[in-house]
Amino acid sequence: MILSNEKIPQVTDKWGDMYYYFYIFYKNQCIYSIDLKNNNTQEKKKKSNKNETEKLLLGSIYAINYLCSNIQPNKKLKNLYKSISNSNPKLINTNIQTQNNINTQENIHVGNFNCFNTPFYKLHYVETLTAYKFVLITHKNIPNLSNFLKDIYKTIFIDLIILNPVYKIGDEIKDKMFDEKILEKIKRLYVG
Amino acid sequence: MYSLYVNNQHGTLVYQKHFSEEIKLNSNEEIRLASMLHGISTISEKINVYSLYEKKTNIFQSLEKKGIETIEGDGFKIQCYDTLTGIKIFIVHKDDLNIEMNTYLKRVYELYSDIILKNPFYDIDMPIRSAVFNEQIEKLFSNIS
Repeated sequence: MILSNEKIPQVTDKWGDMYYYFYIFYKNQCIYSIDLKNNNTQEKKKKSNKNETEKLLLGSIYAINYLCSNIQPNKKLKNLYKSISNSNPKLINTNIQTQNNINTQENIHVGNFNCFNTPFYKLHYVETLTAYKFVLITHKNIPNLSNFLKDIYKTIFIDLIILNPVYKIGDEIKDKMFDEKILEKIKRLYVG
Repeated sequence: MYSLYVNNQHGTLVYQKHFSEEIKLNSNEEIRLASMLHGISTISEKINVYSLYEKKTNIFQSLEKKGIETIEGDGFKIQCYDTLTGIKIFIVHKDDLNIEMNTYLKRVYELYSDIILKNPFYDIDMPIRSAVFNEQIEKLFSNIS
């Protein structure tokens, strides 16, 4: 007899019960992480444990990327260059701007998976060509939020971090405006 | 429909079947990828995420499976089924299928129990070489493109 484990827990009214963590990784390190359920005071206490969790999370993302790129026949990067090679060589000069625009919009996400589910949470994932990885961990019943993470990259991240002349690439993000914008956007996602 | 894999409780691949000619993996790559999913599933349990089930009291709580259930990507989807005995059955298919794939995975487990475990010559955790099992799997998935 197989145990019935399909009971869905009651969803409370708090938005913090639906969205758990948000991370930004750059290459091999975590440059931003926010705990969407706890206060900031508890976050500092678990700092050493938090670093281990971030490394574990990044390692599992790398492994899933490798797994998904090999276990199925569709190759992500091939699709990226395929749209360029399909164009007529004679029209390359005239269409190059349009082609780049299409690539910019449709191919922000070069990772090999979008999200994965466990019984306790769901992890949403977006990776850019510039090796930034956006990870959002939510309740397992949330639908796919890849487009939401792309929006965060295109609007909040580029405007407040990349275009910030004080910020060094690869450093940890410690910007209060960025914190507020991220939290505001996630809360709006819950309401909307 | 791309592939069906069956892992034993130690993460070793014991059975794989490809339904599409697009899959170009050799046997060593299949074993490595299947073992990788076992490791990923174990790690995903330990990512520090709040659990709404913490207050649950159940004598079978240690048997409760917490690993990866679904991995979604562009154009494909991996659906996993963890049995209580530790067997992991997962399938790789196109994401445009709207079929409840868990039903098929449980059916595969049923076939595994009937054909493999009742075979007196089968050593537990060894690779499955059964022609009858192969036949039944092909029949089960013949309706899915």
